[in-house]
Amino acid sequence: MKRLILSMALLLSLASCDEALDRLPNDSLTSETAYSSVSDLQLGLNGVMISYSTLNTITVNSILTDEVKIGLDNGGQQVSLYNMILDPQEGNSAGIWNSRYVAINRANRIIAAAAGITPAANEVNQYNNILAQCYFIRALSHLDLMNHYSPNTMDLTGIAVPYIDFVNTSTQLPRNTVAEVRDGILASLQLADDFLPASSSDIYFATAKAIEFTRAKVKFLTGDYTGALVHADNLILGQNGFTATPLANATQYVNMFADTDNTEIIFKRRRTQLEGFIGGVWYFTGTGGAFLEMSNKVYNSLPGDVRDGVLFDAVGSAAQGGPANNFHLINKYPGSSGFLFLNDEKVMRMSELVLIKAECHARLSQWTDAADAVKAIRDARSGASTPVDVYANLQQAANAILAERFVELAYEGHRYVDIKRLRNVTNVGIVRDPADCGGAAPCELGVSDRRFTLPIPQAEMDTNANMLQNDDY
Amino acid sequence: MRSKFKWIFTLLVAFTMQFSFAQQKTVTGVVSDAMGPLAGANVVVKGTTNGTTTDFDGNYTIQAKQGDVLEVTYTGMKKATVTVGASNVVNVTMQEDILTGNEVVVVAYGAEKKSNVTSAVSVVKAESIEQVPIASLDQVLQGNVAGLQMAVGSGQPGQSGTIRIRGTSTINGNGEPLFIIDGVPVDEDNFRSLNSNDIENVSVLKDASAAALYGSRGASGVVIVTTKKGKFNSGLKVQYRSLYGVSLKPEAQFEVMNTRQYLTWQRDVLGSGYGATGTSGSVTGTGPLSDAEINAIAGFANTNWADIFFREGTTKSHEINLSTGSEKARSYTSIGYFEQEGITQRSDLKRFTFRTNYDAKPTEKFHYGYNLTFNYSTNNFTIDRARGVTTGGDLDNPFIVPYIGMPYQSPYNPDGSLNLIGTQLSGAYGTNPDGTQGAYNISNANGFQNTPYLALNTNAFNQDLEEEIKAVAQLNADYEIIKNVKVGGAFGLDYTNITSTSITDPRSIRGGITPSQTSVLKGSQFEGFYRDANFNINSFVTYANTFKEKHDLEISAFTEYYYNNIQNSGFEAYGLNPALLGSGAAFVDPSVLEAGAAPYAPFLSSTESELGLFSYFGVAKYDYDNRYGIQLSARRDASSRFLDENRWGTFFSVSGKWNIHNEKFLENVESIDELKLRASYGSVGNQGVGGFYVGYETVGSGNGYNGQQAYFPAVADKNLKWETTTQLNVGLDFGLFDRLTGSVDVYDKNTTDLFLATQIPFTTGFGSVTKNIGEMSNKGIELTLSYDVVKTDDWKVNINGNAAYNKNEITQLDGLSDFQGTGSTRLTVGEQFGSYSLVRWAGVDPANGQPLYLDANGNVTNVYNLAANRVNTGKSFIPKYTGGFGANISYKNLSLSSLFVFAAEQYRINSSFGILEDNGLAGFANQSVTVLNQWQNPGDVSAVPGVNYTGIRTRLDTRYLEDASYLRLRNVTLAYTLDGQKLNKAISSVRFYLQAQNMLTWTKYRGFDPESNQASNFFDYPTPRQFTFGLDINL
Repeated sequence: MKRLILSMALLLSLASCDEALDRLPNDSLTSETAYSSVSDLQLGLNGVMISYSTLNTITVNSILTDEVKIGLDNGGQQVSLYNMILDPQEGNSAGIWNSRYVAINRANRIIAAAAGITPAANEVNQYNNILAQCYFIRALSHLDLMNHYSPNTMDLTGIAVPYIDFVNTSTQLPRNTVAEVRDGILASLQLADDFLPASSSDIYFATAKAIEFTRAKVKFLTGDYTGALVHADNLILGQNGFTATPLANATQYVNMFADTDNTEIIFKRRRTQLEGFIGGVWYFTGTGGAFLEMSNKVYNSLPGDVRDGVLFDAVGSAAQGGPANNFHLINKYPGSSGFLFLNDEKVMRMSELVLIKAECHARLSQWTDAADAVKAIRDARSGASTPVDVYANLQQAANAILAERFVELAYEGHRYVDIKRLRNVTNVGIVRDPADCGGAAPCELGVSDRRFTLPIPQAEMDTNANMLQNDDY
Repeated sequence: MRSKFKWIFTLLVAFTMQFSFAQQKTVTGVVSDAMGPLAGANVVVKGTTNGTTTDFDGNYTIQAKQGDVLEVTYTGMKKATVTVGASNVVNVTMQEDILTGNEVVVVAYGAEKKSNVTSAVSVVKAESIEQVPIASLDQVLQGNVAGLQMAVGSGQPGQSGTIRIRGTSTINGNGEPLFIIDGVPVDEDNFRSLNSNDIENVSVLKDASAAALYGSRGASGVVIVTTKKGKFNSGLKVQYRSLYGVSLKPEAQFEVMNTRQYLTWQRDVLGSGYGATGTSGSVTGTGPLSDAEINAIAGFANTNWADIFFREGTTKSHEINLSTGSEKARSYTSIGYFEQEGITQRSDLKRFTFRTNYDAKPTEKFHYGYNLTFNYSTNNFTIDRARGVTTGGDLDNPFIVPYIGMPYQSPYNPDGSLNLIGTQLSGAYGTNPDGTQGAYNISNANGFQNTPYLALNTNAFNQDLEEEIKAVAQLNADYEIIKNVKVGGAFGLDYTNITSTSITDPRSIRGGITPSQTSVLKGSQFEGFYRDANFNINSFVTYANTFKEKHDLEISAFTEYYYNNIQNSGFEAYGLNPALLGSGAAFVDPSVLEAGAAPYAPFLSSTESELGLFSYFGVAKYDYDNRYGIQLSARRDASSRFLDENRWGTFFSVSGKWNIHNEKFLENVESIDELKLRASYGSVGNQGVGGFYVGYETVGSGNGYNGQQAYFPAVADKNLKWETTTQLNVGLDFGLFDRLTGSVDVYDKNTTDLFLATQIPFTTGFGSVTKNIGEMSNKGIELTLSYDVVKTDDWKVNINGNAAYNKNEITQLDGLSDFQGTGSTRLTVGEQFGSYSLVRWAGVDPANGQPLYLDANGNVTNVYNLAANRVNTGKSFIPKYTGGFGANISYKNLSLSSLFVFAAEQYRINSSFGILEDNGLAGFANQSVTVLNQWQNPGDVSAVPGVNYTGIRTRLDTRYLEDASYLRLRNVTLAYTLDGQKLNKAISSVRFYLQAQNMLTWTKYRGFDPESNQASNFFDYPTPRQFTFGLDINL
């Protein structure tokens, strides 16, 4: 019996192995312990900032519209989006939704984690800056969402997107109205402003000017043109405590797209070699082959100023017959730091703000002011005084502004939402050059097509009972 | 199954008889089985009491006269009868008998007499496994077990397949069975370094009762591999075996255009490309090619790229094994070398294997033993989707080229050597104004038109190598501490160390753009170190006793601890000196700056993860009079994957059997040899989901904004717990007329708390979180039959087969939306797992050549609207019917055996073929000959839309959802066994054989290979056909 007991004891001795079941991750932290200091929050902020990117808005705005055509080296890449197949399963558009809510969630998590941390005196600036950046990213993300997913951002009672200013872990949130989202964005911007240390001037992060730019844009998109003009003019003219930011001259303009000049940059999203290269929207960045090329429409619209060379890669195109062979390479992201196609995202440039100013004036029937703003862009790009437009009505002004935006902001993520916003004024949807379309690739998208509002992703519809799909999807 | 019990039993029952007949001669011979001579076999002259037993070397001597019939019996073997002829030497080869009721079946933590087994267990014996020229053991099981479905996604030598036992019973959990080799749980995805010839048998535990003792990891079934042991009281036996063979490409079930077809079609229909413009690569044309020009080009090159990319791979194998046994110890040792080339360049496996198994019983009460296998293998890979670093769409994937390689490109240089760079026509070289070859163009050399040369170049220059050290070891001991009570334990280790080296040669086409096109130095070298160590410790106490000769009782208690540690680290250096390739001396200083950036900044990584499982469990077995038996088990398991109270799971099983043939009322029914009814019910757990820390809400670290380190949050369901599979099984084993044996099983399996990467609203910042959601059921029937058509001394004809039907259904998803997932397959309540949900393709409109679809109501529409019109097709990539069948025919020493395997009701999206009908790619990709009949004019009836409808192949519709059912002649072997004594005294036998693997395949699937473990094909590495010659010499 003794021996039996001994053997049982031997057997049970293994039971102490239970302790060996507590296997905490070696390569990561757990949420309970990750954030305990300001430097932890800083690491969290680095994760917030990298999750905000305009790459997917650039993709959709470029490929779904008249900015590109199928390239010589296309092996099926993005053909579906180019063919305007846009449904709730479409990945590029879903990417806008998903990535913006990732950024919002991460920002909210850091804001929540910061509440439990008291910074030391020498950390207060850093701590406040972290909060300011988080509020800024939260505001900007909601703005992008509303711009792409709201059927009409000028309809204040119309549906927009869920506005989320807390760490949402499981709540199925409904869509807020445009006014609610606008108010939320402005509130977040105010918090960002409040926390932002006075010395902040790094254009790779939120600055007072970037906050002001965003205020102008949100008011502009939601139809408060007078309000938007105040913020726009603050930066354009240098009012109310702001210094004026000029438009780049011709040399600065070229250098801006090589990331060596920041004269007119308000906010840039930095990209490093560790991330996908921005040129990858149109190019195989490893081999240099273009699966998407500049459309004939952009090529035929080249304005004859410094922008021609920034938009169109004449040398590269010539290697394969050039325009004569219907071969047009995009040059907006020529690369930097020794890497082809690696460039920063120019999220906020002064020329966009000047064109917002133009459109605000036009909406307010201030035709001369609108024409002057457009002229300011053309003058800066051509380095000479250009003739001023004369607009008799909103449609004329809108056509001119849209055309100017086309060549000024091409491949920067504006084209689709620009046409969306102005289509009811211009009475024109997306119209591709006949040389760019045909077969399965539509040449037009009608003014009232459902596809001028992106579909809420199917995954959200499947999991969120309170979510409302946009019409006709 | 041979074991010490047999030998002891034989000694007990053996007896010697006297002889007393006149006019007799002395007959001698050797009694042996497949393993070699049998000691202690009884040899009796039929109808007399004249008998003897064989000695240690299987020799016997008996007095008999011509015409007498010798009956030879041996426990566990079928009775052999031989008529004495003119010769005085009569050698007898015995066959194992699965009907005597004494056969031993390996089950969880031990072995049991077959007649005592209460659960559903299938056994595959060595002869189905040995000397098959397939380097991965799991692949060899295909077609051999009813209800075991094996599919492999690549023909790479050593590739592990995906096994499903009784269907798929998990969604995101580990759905592969647990593999146990000699008591050690091993990685179920890596067998390339193990020698299948060492295997004695494989037991496949299919029902809940059988798998219950591996309850923490047996939810998808258990495969127990037992390796060879020596035999107690046997002499030294030595065997040499070798194989030599070739692997060939499979037959393509599709046809691409030749040069004349392609160029003429480009000119007349497509309106672009070389045929239409005369422009290809850097050669600029002046307009459409004339017929004469096309003929001239076709005369110069009409390449079938399949001929260039597939090669004849060779297989060589040599092995020596020794087994020996004394009264108290036995051992088996083998050493082997195996090498196999794949059917394309750069693809091969070489391995050295070593095994030694030792068992000893120094006293009656104490037994110990060890099993050790230590192996080294090198595996060279080509670009292959199953390798995981490619989608299959890489232009240097050799398996893309037979599809898209343009036929007018010549694979050869003017001097006849293989062109590894490209041509002017492929764009790799520019064209000078005078038409002569211009400068090398690195960008175009990496472009689509240069695909064939790029693939040849990568295969020739670059390297992707894994070197593996794999050891599986076990030490076990047991001791009868008091009468009827045994204590024991075992320590097991599965150790895998993989060193990877991937080199992109700076001189290769890919090297030219690595790390970037603009960097001064080129090339990259990745080295990875991966170590996967699994430790398993168990201990047990067993009480076993027999009461009143009829009541067998056994009660055991076990504890088990399992620990898995995986370390993975690596670096990738950029910028290499080609003269010192493969060595760190080739690396450039990574801090070198060019244009302000550090293009040679290396990639570095190091991770470690750990898993712990702890279990205690008990099992009780009771058997009454070899008629009724019952087994009960219960267990508690903990996994470090889960937190707190969710860590523990409780599982149980009960099973019983009734040996009807042992009942009195069947005593006199001669025709029934065996009739056994089995039933079992029980539950088994699954914890194999996600990473090892799936239950923890982690905050990960990585590259953040501006190249700074950053934290990234993750979500987890902290309530995640064990997935449980409950199964009811009823089975009948039968043996009739001494000819027909078989078994039939029906089962009903239900998995609850399914692991599901559950979609959550993205407004939470996350797309999905792994939760326990829903239920899934698998119901099926399995049949195994073996019939001896002819059983004479000279002729033996046996036909056998197995078949299984499995019906999978997702029974509920806990209120989640019915359609989970956005890909081609979706989870839908009431549908099977892996079921395609697609818009129905309705062909081509004869009026205008546009594609047509059916809407949700079945009306024809020209609008492709996925959200509105996708429907469940009821078709899945997982087959409903699987099985194998074959015949074993032998005449004297000549034998022919065959194995056919089949999978039916299986479908797959043929994305590879879709490329061949996408005219949008036809400027640089060859097209299928079906395109020659595409719609061109109103009224044309065609399956291929008009030339303008490009890029629609990727739509989620049924156009390329193809029937991937197949019937395959998996193995056919012709063998001749020569009595070695005729050659040399020292040789007992010699066996020669010819084998063909996958010789014939019948399928409708338009590709190289209908077999795959994926939902779609995209230029996968097909399974080769193999022809081998083998030789076994037994000393």
